[in-house]
Amino acid sequence: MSDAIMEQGSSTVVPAKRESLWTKAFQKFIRDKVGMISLSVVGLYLLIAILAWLGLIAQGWDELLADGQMGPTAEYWFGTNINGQDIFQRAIYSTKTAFEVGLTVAVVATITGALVGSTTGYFSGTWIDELFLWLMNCLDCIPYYLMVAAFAVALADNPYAMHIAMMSCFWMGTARLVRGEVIKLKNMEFTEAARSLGVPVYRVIFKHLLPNTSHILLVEMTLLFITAIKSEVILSFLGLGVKDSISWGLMIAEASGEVTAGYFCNFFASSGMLFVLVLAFNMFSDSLQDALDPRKI
Amino acid sequence: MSEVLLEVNGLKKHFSAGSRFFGTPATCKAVDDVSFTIERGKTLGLVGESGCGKSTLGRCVLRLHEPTSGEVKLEGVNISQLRGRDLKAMRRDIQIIFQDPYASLNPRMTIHEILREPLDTHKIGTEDEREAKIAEVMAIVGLRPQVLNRYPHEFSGGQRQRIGIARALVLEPKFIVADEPVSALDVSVQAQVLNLIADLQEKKGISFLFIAHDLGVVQHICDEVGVMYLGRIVEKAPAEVLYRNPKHPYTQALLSAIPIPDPTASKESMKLQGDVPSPLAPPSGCTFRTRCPHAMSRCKEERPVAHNTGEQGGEHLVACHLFD
Amino acid sequence: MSEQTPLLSVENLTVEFKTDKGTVRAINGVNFKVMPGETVAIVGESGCGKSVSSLSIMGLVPSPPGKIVDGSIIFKGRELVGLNEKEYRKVRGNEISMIFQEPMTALNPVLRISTQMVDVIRLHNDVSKKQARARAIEMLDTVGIPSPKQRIDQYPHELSGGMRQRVMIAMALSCGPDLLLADEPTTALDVTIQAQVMDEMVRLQKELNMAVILVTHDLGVVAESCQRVVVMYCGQIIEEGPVEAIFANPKHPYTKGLLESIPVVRDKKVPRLPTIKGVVPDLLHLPNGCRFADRCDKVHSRCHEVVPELSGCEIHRVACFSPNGDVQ
Repeated sequence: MSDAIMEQGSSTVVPAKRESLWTKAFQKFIRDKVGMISLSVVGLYLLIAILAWLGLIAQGWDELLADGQMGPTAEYWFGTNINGQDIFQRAIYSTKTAFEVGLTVAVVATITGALVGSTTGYFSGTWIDELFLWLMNCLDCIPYYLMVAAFAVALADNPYAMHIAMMSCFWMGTARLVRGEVIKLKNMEFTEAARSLGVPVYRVIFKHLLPNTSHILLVEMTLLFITAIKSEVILSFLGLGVKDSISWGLMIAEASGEVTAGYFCNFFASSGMLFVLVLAFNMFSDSLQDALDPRKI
Repeated sequence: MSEVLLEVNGLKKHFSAGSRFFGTPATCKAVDDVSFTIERGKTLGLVGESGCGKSTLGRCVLRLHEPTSGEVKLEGVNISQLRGRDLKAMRRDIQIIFQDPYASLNPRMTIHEILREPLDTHKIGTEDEREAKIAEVMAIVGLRPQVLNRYPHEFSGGQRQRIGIARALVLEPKFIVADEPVSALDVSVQAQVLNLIADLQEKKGISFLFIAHDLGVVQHICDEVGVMYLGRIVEKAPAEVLYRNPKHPYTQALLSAIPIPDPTASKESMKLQGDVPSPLAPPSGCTFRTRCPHAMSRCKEERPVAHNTGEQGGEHLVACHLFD
Repeated sequence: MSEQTPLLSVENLTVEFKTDKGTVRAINGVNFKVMPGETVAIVGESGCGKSVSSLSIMGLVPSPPGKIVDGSIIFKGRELVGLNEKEYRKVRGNEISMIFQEPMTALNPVLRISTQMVDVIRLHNDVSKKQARARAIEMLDTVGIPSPKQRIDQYPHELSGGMRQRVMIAMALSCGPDLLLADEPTTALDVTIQAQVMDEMVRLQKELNMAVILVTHDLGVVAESCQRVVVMYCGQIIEEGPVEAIFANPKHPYTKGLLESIPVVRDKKVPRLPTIKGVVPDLLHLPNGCRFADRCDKVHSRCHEVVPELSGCEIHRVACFSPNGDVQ
């Protein structure tokens, strides 16, 4: 047997278990204290949201329980608002609303953006690319809040009007990001290799190009989550947001009246909970980005 | 064994560079009328410096770039016009090995998935036959089967290059385009991979188009060598003939510029002045005349055509007015 | 032999890097000297520590994650390890200069050549802009750039790779340093351009009587332009000596294997290139004893237990228990 065939390429110690990008990122993330703490905070919020959704806690957010505008007491931890509703239960139930908006918008916008971005990226320079770029440019020209108002009117009484409006605007940022990354990737040699093997186009996009953007997509998704929640606050404040439920945005909107009369509980409770979630999620997103950074692996 | 496997005739690849709105776009003639043949089981080496078009030429043969004009024939069949299913079927016969071991493997796929993909794409054999094929190519390139479920980043440059070679072998091609396969590797690893390629030539009878910039590497692996400059082949001859008796001034300069790892060797070096002209604005007539020590007035006006100056019936093509 | 004081004396230099998987010793106990006006090559393959060695001399080891944990670097009688940034900046460019592998990225793409060169000259010399510009044009002419008065006002992207590398050399030499560190200066260049640039470097070195440390993996370039060679493997020096001796009579099995496996233009084709079996060990999991032992033809039990030290005659030393050509 010749020299080349007998050479075993590994006389070095090679690690015993396989290490994908995700395993390595996971190991790195675990060592990041800030990341772990922020993840726990987010996890806590998520747990609260799930419990509220399952109907186990904070179900009395709508009931008129006591006198209006009481300060914090043993029974009502955050006091009551002007209508006599329990602020604590309202704040807790709003977590469910926040996650509902955040998750649905983030997931749908990311998936749409990924699909459009990868396709236009692969076909960049052709009519498919030009078409979508033109579409995105047109949609960009419409001011965001007017768009939402238009959806609210068109889908009157649909509780998901706000969600749909957000999804139809947020996908574009992700699409552009993915498109840029895919244009870079499609010129790399492993893509050329796939083409030279006769791999069909759809498989090149979905098996080769898109998975190499997954670390970007994950971080984008966390950022969209936060953007959606913050957006909801403003929309609810403007009356275009959540309708038959309660959210931090609505609470802040209510609180604007109470604050002038000197009752701050509503305001602090809602903005406090919002602030902590957004901060924790942002820090989690940063740590996630560090852990997934391919250059640092 | 003198059956022609691959025939390239008048291949041209032009890129348009420059803005689309203002002025006429400049044309970059990356490959400018190249013709050659490769026989079954033989290897043609293509050398040249950056910008000479050798990598573009390799990709045009495979139709990774679509040639602007000219034809490529594999076993007599014109593959430059194939479409659809025929094009896909052709892909089984011609494969490519890339230069960069770090960019040529998908970082998100395991080695097993990388080697399995071509078999699945062309629906070759049964499940068991596919696994057997994968095991076979792993053994040929000298990698243990236990590493199949690992990811590319867990391997060294040399090992990754072997995986790239294994991927090219899985479909049992007749012809492989090797685009600078050892340039990015360390010297000792280079030798291992070159020996592997030599084995493939001998035991599998695969023909190669071996693209390189290192003339030492090319001599070791190739039967015939072609020298490219700014999109054209300026000299082509069997390897020993080219190295013993280089005729074109560029080939001579290239050979004398290679640093010899022997401090006692004396070198009458033919140093070229100036830089390679931009492919967007090649000099008129002979494109090499701006750096050629033997340039004549004829070189400015007339483009040299390749002539066979071979002795004893052998082929030694030179495109230079000194040999007209 | 006259006792000259070395220009640069590296003693027992050890540099560690913190990685996710543990601490790695990129170089371990490296000793070598450079005399004034001498050209020394540091050769080895990827990961042997040659770049880290030259970066340490310049004080450019990225820290974190890298750190010089032991050893000293004495330049013109002065200790460089431990200098703060401000003091080091006076040395860099002025007394020790460095040129890098990638001419495309080593020059700032948004600044003209004149700006970049004048900045460097004025940083170390108290001269006016006009004088600095005149000196810069003079340097460009010295390195062989045609029409330097026009070229100096161009941007890097307007120049070819070979020219950019020459501009880098001009910049490095503009303050007349005593030592030039060249880290793979011609690897990214075409072979005909490489020949031109190496010629210029050798000529300039002789004219300015400057010492040069050439870090490279290309043994051909070493043979043509260097006087002494230091061979590194896995962070250690395993052989050093005059260039003729190293090429004609390599003592360490690694050096010998390396020289034999280079595909050179020969009179006749050889059927198989001789290779060194196995691969370079992972720096995180170094074997006990000699790091080359697993790949060596002449290994015996002692090689796995003890790390060999550099020994032999003063000018040609090797770290091996059974060096080639010597009776064991």
